[in-house]
Amino acid sequence: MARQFKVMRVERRFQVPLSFATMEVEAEELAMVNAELVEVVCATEDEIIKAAKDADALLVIFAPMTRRVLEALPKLKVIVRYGIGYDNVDVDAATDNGVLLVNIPDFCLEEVANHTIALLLALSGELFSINEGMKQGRWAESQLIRATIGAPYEQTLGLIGCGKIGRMTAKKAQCFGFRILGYDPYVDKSLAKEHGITLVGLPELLKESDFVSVHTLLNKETWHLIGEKEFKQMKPTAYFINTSRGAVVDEAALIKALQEKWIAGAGLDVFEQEPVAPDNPLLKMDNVIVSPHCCSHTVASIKRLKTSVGQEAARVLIGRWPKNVVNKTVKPKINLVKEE
Amino acid sequence: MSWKARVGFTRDYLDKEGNFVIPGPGLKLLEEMPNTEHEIFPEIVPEATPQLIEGFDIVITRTFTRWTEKSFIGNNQLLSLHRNGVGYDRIDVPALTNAGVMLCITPAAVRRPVAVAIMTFILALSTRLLTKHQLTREGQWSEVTKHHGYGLIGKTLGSIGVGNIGHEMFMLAKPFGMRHIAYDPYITQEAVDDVEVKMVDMDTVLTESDFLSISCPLNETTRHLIGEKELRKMKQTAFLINTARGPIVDEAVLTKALKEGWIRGAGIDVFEQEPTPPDNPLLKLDNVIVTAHAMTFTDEFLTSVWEIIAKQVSQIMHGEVPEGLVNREVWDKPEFQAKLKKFQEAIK
Repeated sequence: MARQFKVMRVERRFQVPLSFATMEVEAEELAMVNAELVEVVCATEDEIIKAAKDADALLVIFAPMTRRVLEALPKLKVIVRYGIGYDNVDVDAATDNGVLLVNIPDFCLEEVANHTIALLLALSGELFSINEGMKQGRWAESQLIRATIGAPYEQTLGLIGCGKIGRMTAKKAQCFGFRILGYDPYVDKSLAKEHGITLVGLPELLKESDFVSVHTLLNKETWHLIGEKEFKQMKPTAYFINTSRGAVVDEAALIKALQEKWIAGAGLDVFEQEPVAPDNPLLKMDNVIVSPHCCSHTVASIKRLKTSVGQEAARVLIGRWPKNVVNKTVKPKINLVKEE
Repeated sequence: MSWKARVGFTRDYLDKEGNFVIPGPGLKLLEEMPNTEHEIFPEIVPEATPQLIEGFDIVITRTFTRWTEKSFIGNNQLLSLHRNGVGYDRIDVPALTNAGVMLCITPAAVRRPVAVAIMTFILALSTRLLTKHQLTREGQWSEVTKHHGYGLIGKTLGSIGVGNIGHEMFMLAKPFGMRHIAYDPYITQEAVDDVEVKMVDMDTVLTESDFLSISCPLNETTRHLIGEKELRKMKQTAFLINTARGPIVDEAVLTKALKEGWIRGAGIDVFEQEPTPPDNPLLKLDNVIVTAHAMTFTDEFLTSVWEIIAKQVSQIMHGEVPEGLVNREVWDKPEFQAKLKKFQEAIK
C-alpha cells in the first residue's frame, strides 16, 4: 500500500557528504506519520522540478531552491534544511508560494563553538607548525616558533554575528580571559551583555580584535561582508576565523591579506567554492589552518540533526507547526496547529 | 666600596647561534636591576660543579643541568637557585637544603599557559583538526566525513595531579560541559570543589577518562607512572595528554599503545629524552600531535616568568623570603642566615 506522503531528497551526486549518504534515521521518523522518503539524484533545476513534482516535503542539503523551482512544485508544503544556514533557498519565493522553510538552529552550537576555540588556540600556539617541525626532527626551531607569538592573554576576540553560535563561542572564550567584542545589528544589547559581549561597530571590532571570528548567516546583506577594506583595518598580528559560510568573505581579498601580511593567519572551515579547488592558495599557506566544512560534524551531532530533520518534516505533514520556521510570515498550503 | 650581586645563567639559555632562548620583556627587569651583574656560564655541563658556580650569589638554571650534592662541595656563597618553571626533577632538593641553598620556582608564570596548552590539545584532538587540515590541504575534501570530531558534552576529563596547573585546566574546561575527575594523593576534595572535580583513585581516572591529562611533578614515585598496565586500562576511545614531564610516561609503551589502538590518540609536549631524537617513532604517528616542550612559551609566560624571577632576586637582596621558595627550611638555618647577612653587607 502506498504511503500517504512523499518526502524527497534531490541533491547532486557528489555534494552529499558521506555522513548524510544514508537516510535511515530520517526515514524512521517519517515512517511514523506514514510518509515515504525517496532520494533522486538531480544535477539541475529542471531535474529537481521533474523529480519532485509529487513531493509533499523536501529535505535539502545544498539543492538549489530557487523561485523557478518553488513555483513549479505545487504540492510542496515544506522544505527542511539540514542545518542552520539556508543560503541555497530563496526565502521570499518560498513565502510567496506558501512553502514553509524550516531549519535546525541548535544542532551544532557546541561543535562549532568548540571548533572555533580549537582554531583560535591552535593558531595562537602555531600548533601545526610546531607539530610539523617536530615530525621532521627540528626540535630547536620548533621550540623557538612558540616564543615569537601571543597567547590568549589580555587579548580581544571579535565576533561578527552574535547569534546562538556566536554567544556560545563567547561563553567558552571568556574562561580563557578574552575581552569579547561583537558586531551584530540584530541582536539585543542586553542579551549580548548577558553573554559577556560588548557590541561595537564593525570598524571598531576589526581594529581592536586579536582574533576575528565570523558567525553570521549568508544572505544578501552578509555576502562579502569582509573584504579588502575590512582586512586592512585588522591588526597585522590578528587572526581571522571563519566557520560560517565562505562567501561572507571575499576570498580573493583574504588571500591577498594573508600574502601581504595585513593579518597574521587564518582558520577556515568554509570556502567560497566547495569543495575547495586543490590549487587554492589558502591550502598552501603555513599560517592557515583549513578543514572541509565539517566543523559541525560529530557522530552525535549528525544523528541529532537527522532526527530533527525527519521530525520537523513529519510535524508539518500531520498538520502541526514545526519548531523552527524561518519564513514566519508564510501562509501554509494546509492548516497547521501549534503544538503546546 | 660596594659589591654587586653576581647572577649566573646556565649555558643552555643560549642556542647554537648564541641567542637567548627564553627571551621576554621581563628579562630586562632582571638585567637592569641595580647592584647586580649577570653572566652566562661558559659551557653546557650535564652536572653543575663547584668551579662553575664559584663566585656567584644567585644562579638561574634551565632544564639541562643536574644539581647534586657534588655541585656545592666547598661552596659557601651561593644563596639560591631559580627555575624558570615549576619542574625541578634535575635538582636534588635535599642536597640543596644541606648546602644551605634556596630553590625558587615560578608557579604563577606557568599556571595559565600550561592549562591553555592542555585545552589546545584537547580541542585539537577532539575536533580532529590536524587530520582535517591535512586532508583538506591534500585536496581530499570528501574523505573528511570519515573523520568526524568527537563532542565534549558529557565526556569525562581526568587529570593525574590537580595542583596549580591541573586546577587551572579544570577552570578553563568549565564551559565545555565535561565531567571532571582527578587523582592526586596530596589534594583534598574540598580543594577542588570550586572547579567541580570529583577526586577518585588512580584506577578510576584511568578507566573513566575520555581525555586524560598529566599534571604532576616527575619524581621517583611518578617515573613511568603510566606504563603498559595503565595504558591498557584506558578506554580505547581515550586521548592522553602530557605537558608535564616525559619520563612520567613509558614512551616505548605509549608508542605501542597508539600504534595498536589501545587508546585513540595523544597530545605530547614532553619526551623521555629532550630534544627527542628525530627518528623517535612517536613522531611518525598520525594520531599524535607533538610539540617541543614549548607550549608554555607564550608572551604571557615570557613576561611573567622573568618578572617573578626578578622579584625573587630583589626579595633576596632585601633579606625577604622569596616568592616560590620550595625548601623553606633553608631560610631558618643559622648558616644560611649568616651567608645572607654577609651578602647583604657586601652589596650595601
